[in-house]
Amino acid sequence: MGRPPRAPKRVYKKKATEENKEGDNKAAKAKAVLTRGRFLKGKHKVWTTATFRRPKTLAQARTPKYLRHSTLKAGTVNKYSVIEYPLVGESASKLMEDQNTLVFIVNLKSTKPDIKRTFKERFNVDIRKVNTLIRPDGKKKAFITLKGEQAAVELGSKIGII
Amino acid sequence: MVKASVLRKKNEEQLNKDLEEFRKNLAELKFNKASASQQMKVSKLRTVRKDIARVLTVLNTMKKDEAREKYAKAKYQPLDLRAKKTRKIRRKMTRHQRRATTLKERKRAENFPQRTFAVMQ
Repeated sequence: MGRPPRAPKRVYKKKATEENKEGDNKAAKAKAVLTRGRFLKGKHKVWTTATFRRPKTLAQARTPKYLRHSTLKAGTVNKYSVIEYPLVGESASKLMEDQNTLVFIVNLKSTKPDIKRTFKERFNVDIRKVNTLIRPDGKKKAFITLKGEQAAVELGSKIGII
Repeated sequence: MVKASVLRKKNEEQLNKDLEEFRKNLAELKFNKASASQQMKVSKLRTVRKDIARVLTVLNTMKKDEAREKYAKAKYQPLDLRAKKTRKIRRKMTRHQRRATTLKERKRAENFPQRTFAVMQ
């Protein structure tokens, strides 16, 4: 970077007549720009660091002339796709009775807040907490602890787990 | 089992409602299957899944048709509405471009066409 290269200094000869003065000034200025470059005042920036970082330039938002995809396809993620089915084995029933917890197989990509939200929407029950783990067979298991005494057993019998 | 011809007569709102219903159905069936407390017809699972697919198909094709109408006169069409053909063909010159000639060529062709002669017996 640095200064633009300087042409040797020139003396501009002007005619002193009134009429020509403005025009000559303009002409002189244009000539100066051509020979000496734009920075007529000879300012140049003082670099205070050893590194040169790319300066931030104008970043404009996209205004596409056409869409890449014309329609948004109807999605497959919905409130029924999160919780898939309940687990009903011995350990699950034990959790239900002792810990007020229900056990479900849940969509692998769902998160605890997702699970909490859809569960509440679907069954109208309050949840204390959700724990999840991924089984060795690649499915996600969710342990949903409910609020209120015996809520799990109640809900379990309603769903049909018992 | 729903028929697609029946679904096509409905509008988007109704289809979305149907979709919700089918999905709810499917979720219940899955629960039943897992809890194994009752005897259930497992074949129902398949039919409900296919029904959902049918509704989604009709929904998406409806949306696509709407989009086609909307962009029919546009200067630039969305990529999925343009002719698919093959990548190679899309990059070729259009028929109009291939047949384009300069004014000079046209004048020459008009004024000095290829003559055919025949030898008279």
